[in-house]
Amino acid sequence: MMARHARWFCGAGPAATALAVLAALVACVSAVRAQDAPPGGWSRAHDSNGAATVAGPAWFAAWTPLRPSIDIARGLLRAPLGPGLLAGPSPRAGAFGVAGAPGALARDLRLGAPGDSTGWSELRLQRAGESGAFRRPLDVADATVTQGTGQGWAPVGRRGVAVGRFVVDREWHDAAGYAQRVAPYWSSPFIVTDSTTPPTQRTRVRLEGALGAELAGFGVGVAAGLESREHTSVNVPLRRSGRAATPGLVVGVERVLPWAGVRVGGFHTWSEANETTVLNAAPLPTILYQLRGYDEPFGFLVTESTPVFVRNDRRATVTGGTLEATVLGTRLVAVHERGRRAEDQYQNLVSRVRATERWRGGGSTTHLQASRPLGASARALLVGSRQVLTGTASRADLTGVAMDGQDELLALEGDLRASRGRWSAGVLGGVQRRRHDRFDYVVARRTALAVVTPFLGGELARSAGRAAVAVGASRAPRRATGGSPPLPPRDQPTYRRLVQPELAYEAAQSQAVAGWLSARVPVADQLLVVSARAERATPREQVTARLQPSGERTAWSVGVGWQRGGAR
Amino acid sequence: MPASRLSRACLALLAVLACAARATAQTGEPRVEGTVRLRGSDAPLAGATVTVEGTALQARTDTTGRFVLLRVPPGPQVVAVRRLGYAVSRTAVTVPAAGAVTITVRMARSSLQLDQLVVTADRTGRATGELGTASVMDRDAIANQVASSLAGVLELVPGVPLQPPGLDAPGQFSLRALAQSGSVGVGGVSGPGAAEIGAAGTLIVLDGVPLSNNANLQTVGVRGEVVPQASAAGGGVDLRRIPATTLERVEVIRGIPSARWGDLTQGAIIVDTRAAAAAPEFAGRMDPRTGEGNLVGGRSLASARQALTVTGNLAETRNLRTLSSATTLRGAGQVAHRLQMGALRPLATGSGVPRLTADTRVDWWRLRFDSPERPDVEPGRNSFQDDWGVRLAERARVVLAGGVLEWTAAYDHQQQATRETRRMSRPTTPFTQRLDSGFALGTYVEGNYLGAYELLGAPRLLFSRLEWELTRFPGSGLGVAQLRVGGEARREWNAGEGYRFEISRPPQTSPFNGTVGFDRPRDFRDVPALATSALYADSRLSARRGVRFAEVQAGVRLEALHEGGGFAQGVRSAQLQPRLTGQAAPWPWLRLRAGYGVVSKAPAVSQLSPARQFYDLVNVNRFTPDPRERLSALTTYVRDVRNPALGLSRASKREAGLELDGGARWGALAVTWFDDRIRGAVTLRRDPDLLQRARYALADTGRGTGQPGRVVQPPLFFEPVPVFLDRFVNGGRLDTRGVEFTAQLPVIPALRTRVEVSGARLETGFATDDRDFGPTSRLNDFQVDTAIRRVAYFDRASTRSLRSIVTWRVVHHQPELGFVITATVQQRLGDERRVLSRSDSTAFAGYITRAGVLVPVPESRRLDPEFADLRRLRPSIAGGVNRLPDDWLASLQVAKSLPGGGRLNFYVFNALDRLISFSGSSVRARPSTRFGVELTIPTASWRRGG
Repeated sequence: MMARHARWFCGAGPAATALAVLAALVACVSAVRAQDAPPGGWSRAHDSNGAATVAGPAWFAAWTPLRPSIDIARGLLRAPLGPGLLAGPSPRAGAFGVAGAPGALARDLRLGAPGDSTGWSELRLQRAGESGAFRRPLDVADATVTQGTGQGWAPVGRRGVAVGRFVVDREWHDAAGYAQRVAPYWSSPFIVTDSTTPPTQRTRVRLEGALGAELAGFGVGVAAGLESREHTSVNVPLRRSGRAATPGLVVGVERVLPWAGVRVGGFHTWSEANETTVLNAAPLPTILYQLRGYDEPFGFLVTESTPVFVRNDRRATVTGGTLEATVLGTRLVAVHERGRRAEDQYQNLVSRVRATERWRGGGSTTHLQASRPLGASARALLVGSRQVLTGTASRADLTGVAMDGQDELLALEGDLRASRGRWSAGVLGGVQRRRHDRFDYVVARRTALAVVTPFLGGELARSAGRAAVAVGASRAPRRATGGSPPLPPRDQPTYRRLVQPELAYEAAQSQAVAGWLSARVPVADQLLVVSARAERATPREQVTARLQPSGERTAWSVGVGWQRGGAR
Repeated sequence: MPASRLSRACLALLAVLACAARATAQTGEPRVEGTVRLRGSDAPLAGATVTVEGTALQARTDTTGRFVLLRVPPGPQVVAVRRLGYAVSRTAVTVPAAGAVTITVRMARSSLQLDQLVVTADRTGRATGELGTASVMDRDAIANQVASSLAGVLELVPGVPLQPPGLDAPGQFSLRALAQSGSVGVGGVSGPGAAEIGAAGTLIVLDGVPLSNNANLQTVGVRGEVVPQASAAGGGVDLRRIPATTLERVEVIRGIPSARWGDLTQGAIIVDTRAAAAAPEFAGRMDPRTGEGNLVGGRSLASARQALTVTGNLAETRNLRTLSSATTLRGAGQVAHRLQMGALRPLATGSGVPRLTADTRVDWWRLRFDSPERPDVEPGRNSFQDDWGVRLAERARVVLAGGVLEWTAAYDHQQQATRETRRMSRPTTPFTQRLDSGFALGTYVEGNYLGAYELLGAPRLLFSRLEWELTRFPGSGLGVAQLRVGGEARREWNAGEGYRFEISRPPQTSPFNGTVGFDRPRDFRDVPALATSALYADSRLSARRGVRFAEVQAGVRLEALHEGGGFAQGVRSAQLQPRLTGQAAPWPWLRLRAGYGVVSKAPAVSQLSPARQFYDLVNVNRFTPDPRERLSALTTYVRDVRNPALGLSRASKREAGLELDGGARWGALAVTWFDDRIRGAVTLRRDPDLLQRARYALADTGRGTGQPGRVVQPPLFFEPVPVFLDRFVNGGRLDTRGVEFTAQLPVIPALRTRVEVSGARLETGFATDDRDFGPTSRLNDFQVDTAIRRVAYFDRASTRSLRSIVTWRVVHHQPELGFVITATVQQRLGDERRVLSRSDSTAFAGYITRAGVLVPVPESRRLDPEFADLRRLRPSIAGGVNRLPDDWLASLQVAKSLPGGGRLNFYVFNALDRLISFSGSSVRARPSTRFGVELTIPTASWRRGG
């Protein structure tokens, strides 16, 4: 069994090869923009740009070394993914699964609950799309994506475990957002936009892996990842193109102490992402707007002779510690990390030597996780998280701090699953509270948004031998406090067009619902998993007076996965 | 019964002889024996082919997996084992002077499962039959290299800059010389670029037959416009025509090649494609801009001795451009057939070959570049190029007098079509459509129009070589290991319809100053052919004592460039080229090498027969508001700028090196020092000339008549107009010296990681015999303004460039998981470019008069009062040193084995997307990040079910 997993999908036969061919030839991607995502990864998984999710079990996405550190996304409202009874193995508790601490990798993935396998792998091909008007100005309008994913873990030797994932995807946008960045709604207020929303094609390759081993009472590990993106406008008489490179590296160590299975560890994360965009407006001129907080953006006419080059460099370092113990049969994990983030934005080559706009942030993240089996056929897992972020922004044309902000994200989420006979069921639920405070000293405007999003999803599966079908649904109503920000004066039309609708979206009372269906079919010693999902987000009250987006946003996805290993 | 007794006696005798032979073999001759097994199960593997690299020795394993190779040259050798469906295994052994060395080889189904994965050029590689420094890339290394064409594979050569894969631009390769981004131009100071260095003489040999770009005329001439995209005219062979996935082995002879190879000054690249009975293998690649599919397969025909191989390749690259989009499409294919006849004949080496072996190959390739019109962006603008070629090659080998007589012949047939339309905007310009010398009333070209041209080329190459080669095992002591004599002939011409455009709408963007005219259409069929021939002899002497040995390869080659494109019309230029290389191994872990040689390169057809140059002198230009009353008259002069003295360029090459081989435990190091000096490289030189401009009186030129008036003959007077002829001469000097190294650090078994580092420190100097007359505006003033009596000219500036490139490759291997992670970091260090020129007021070398006469002024007289008007600061190029800061870029590859021996490979070039480095006013832009996926599926293994 182990040897078979160790070879991953080697030796899987011609069908696996055919699937590999398909997965590589047809690119992939979930087009979903930045989302409301509890930090534990139980809902949607973050990636480096917050722009895409990775198919497969949601809990298996949180370990990525490419996750954005010291940053809190302002995402579109989404319903949670749900327990994913057929998507992959049951959640593994531990510091690696919840925070990507590589020192815990070998122990967490080797020592699962009874019935857990020592290895698992999956190849998945997925197609997804989303459309609708209930979105913000910088979000993509309509998008479809094809995504290929390979992921899994396997033992290496007697003491080690390797885990890895690749993602290849290609996205088509009928109309891009106004922003040139892939994912505009993160903490930094500096976003370059223009007056066009051209049809766009995006391509991405993402590689990440981790290797951990247990040596003489220590757990050591390293995780590394790299993501490259490229996008360009198509079939439009101007060129808006760009690319992004995101490397990430995490090293960690863990030590088992001689009391009650207590383990302490530490890890350090480095990431230095960059993103480059080029705007050539020929022959159609366009106007470039540099968003700098709540000030009215200045319009810069871009013509054939004045192309615009924008470069964003984002550096983040995080140092964290882990503590783990088992008390009364309950496994407890605590992770705390602190770090700093620095983002520099340059425009055009002449200013490459000096950043024009700067965002400096610092903050911390804390996870508390508890898990325990409930009898022989059930297990429960609870995660509480808190992220705190403060930051300051300085503009090239001014001296001193132009804007500052404090963000906080609190989340409590739980996963409960049980099986009896041919039936199994899972419930995933929790609540998230997100707060964004911003003060722009240039225009003396303050916003204080607080968004509370409870979420709940359930899934029911019935098996027949190794075959199974599952059906599930989830819902996430969002309730905002703090009120909608006041409308700016009429002499700020660009602010009204690009900034105000985003604030109004955040302040809207809205909800998202989703439903999905999965089926699992055994083929030889592997499993073929087919799934489909539909989702809809709408405001619960239509308020147009404050430029709040209206309508609805729908998303869908269909996928086929090829799995080996992983008892469920 | 006598018969029976006789039979028994014979059998007994045979048995005794066999035993004796076996005893001799076991105790006397040096040999390699062993077993080949399957990795993992240790099952014996029958039918594997075992060879000793660099020799003709070969054996096959029996049903128990055993093999024996007899009479193996003592000393360090590399034993290669191949079998269909398995990764090639190469094992380093040290063969004793007497007795056997026994090895066990475990073959893996996938190269990713090898313990010692080969992902780089072989540090101790030797091109077959060569002693000069070489880099050898075999199938494993090629498969692991992300490359669209041969150009990408050559990045494994030490000191070669990494480039993103793709078909964006013509693939050019500068071997052992520092390429600049600019072009040589007219004697230029900015070059040489990679294309010029390639044109200066890097020989590409594809399956034993040289390729050539000498007859490529897809350029509109030295005074015309550069053809945008897709044409390698004026450069070396466009390497995009050779897909990487079809390559089996590439040998890059960086040092002194044997006398067999000619028409080169930089080195030779010997390419073998995958022609053999092999199960079909599919390979695909996709990145945001490129899609590529490749199928290689071969099978035996009636017998195992006949094989037919078919390859197909289709690739497409989309270029992101500001104003237009462009697509490059490539197709390539090959059909190879091998026929072997007759019984096995023993050679002096002890191995046997069939009496006759005939290899027939038909190669086909097509490169298509299309940038269609985008009416919404720029109406009318478009460009298109379509090049394709078919090559028929035959290699026949016959056993003769203990050696092999080989006849190689090839016919290369290419068609090239380039079309471009662009918007022209020029002021009202007098214009004549004359195609010969003489006077004519002119018309006017004015305003905006669409300038369109097409270049229809048809390069042809006919090549033949006859060679006899004797190879034998010299044994202990001194002996001849190899003897080779041969001769070759080559003829190249262009049968294309040529450079065509509508004369009244000249597509050239060059301005018109009333003297230098626009180019005229040209038929390539009128261009004489290029004919060269060569005779060569080459011998390899070997001296052995135990594991110590020394070898010397000495040869001489006589290369001739013939007059008039035929072999019977005399010799235009000839070079005698001695070549000598040697190596000695006093201990098994040390090898010393040195060499000296002379090589030469023939000029291209376009250089031997450049287009005639036209001078349209404006005699009359009466430009009135009423177009009907305008009158112009021009006299056309046509100058033939062929240079009868243009001949072979010559290069002398020197090198010395050492190799230390400590095996996997201690690593290995190879270092080579070299000094290459090219003299007489073909460059352009501006030669002054004198024309007479006639001035006429006009009659009947009253305004409001609606008539243009009349030119009154004869002319009133003549005035001298100095002009310049652009002529190809053997005037270039390209000197490169430097050091190359390749080091393999000891393997770290616990981490399954090894590090290889290779690099080169190069110093390239470039100078020409041309003169610097200053910027174009200065010359225009001189030509037009008769008040200017003379202007100063200067010696051409020369350049000296220095740069070190160090490439680190870290290879992490997980055979159990079938993973190979290769991280490549390339450093550029000490990047410096010096422009050597004087710019003070006495820097002028002389002056040119209005009569077009060059008058040199000795430096001792430049302060004389009579030259006061010439004492000005140099108007164009200022000398100086330009340094760029040290920098680096990193790339990453992750390869994963798939069922059945396939592989999935992710790559990211310039993974961190490092963009620009600044140093004062100097900027270096790195190639932008490029990423993608490659997939290889051997279909035979698929059928087996993995």
